[in-house]
Amino acid sequence: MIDSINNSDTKVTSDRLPADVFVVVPAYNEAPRIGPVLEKLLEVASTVVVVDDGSRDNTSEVVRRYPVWLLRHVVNLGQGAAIQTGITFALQKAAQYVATFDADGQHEPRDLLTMYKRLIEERVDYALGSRFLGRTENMPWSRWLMLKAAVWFTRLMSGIWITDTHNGIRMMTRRGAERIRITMNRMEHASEILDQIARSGYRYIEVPVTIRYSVESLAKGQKTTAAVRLAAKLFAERLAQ
Amino acid sequence: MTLFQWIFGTLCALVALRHLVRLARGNGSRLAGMFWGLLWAGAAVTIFRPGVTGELAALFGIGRGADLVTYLGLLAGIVVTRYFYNRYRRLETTLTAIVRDRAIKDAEDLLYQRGSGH
Repeated sequence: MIDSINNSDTKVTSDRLPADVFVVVPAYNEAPRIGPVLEKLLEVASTVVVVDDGSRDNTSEVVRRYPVWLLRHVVNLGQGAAIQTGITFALQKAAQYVATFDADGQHEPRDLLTMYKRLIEERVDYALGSRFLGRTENMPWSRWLMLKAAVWFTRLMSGIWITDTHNGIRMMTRRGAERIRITMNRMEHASEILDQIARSGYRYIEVPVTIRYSVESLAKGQKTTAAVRLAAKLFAERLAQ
Repeated sequence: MTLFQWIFGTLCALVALRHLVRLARGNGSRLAGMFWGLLWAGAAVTIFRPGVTGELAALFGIGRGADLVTYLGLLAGIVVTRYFYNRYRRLETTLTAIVRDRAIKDAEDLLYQRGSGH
């Protein structure tokens, strides 16, 4: 790991993120949930990029009611592809910081303020959300077990020792975002990002965050069988390299 | 000869002949014609003369002909799987690039459209 070249010594006291912090929200069939999520998110974020990943419902129509950037994939590619589209767009628009934030209402927007503050004050390039350092609400034991297994799998595959490997809330500097090239379109991207962070040699920290599970978010989230498929796909990708 | 040898051996020989005739007439890819022609001809030979695989296996120091066939089949399976996996990944990457490019070009600035400006 090498020191960040982030030269900002700014003490962050504001309760709102500046406009050069782009928050990327990948969304697929999120019409019933994304409105309230954007309302809360826009209380702290100035620049939000929603990437509608080929939704079959009216996600885009709902998003058009809010002052955000809207990008649309004409076909569904997967969350990893949507995040990369958002990152690429944010970098083209001269973003100095890029955050990712799930559209299903699991995340607490104010956690982004903490991440931004720590990213600057600790002069690192990546701030990764950790529910195991922070708080979870209504997490089923099967999800806990799956996430813990993912942590050990990632330690084995990427050699990166963190407490929460599949958390959708994260923030990075421009320099850090430029090193991220997600090639695995679906849910494997979380491991791929960690892999690239490990390879970049840039510094990262974990930030405690809150994750709220609801019936809807659990229904949309990864099933245990999907996690096994994900692990198999990551393994196949490694073999093919 | 057994009934199995008559039926399947003849079928394999006919398929091999078809590929070799197509190859001789210059129809289709030469490489594919040679590969499939030889593969089916090999299958016909091993059905008509089962001892051949045993002799080949002995050349490689493998005990039984059936083991040699299994090893070769396994190897071929791995090569083919990897080939198609790489092709699938290339196609996926190309499709993703096209979709992403279009999404970025058609980005809607709803903040600006709503009259607030960035």
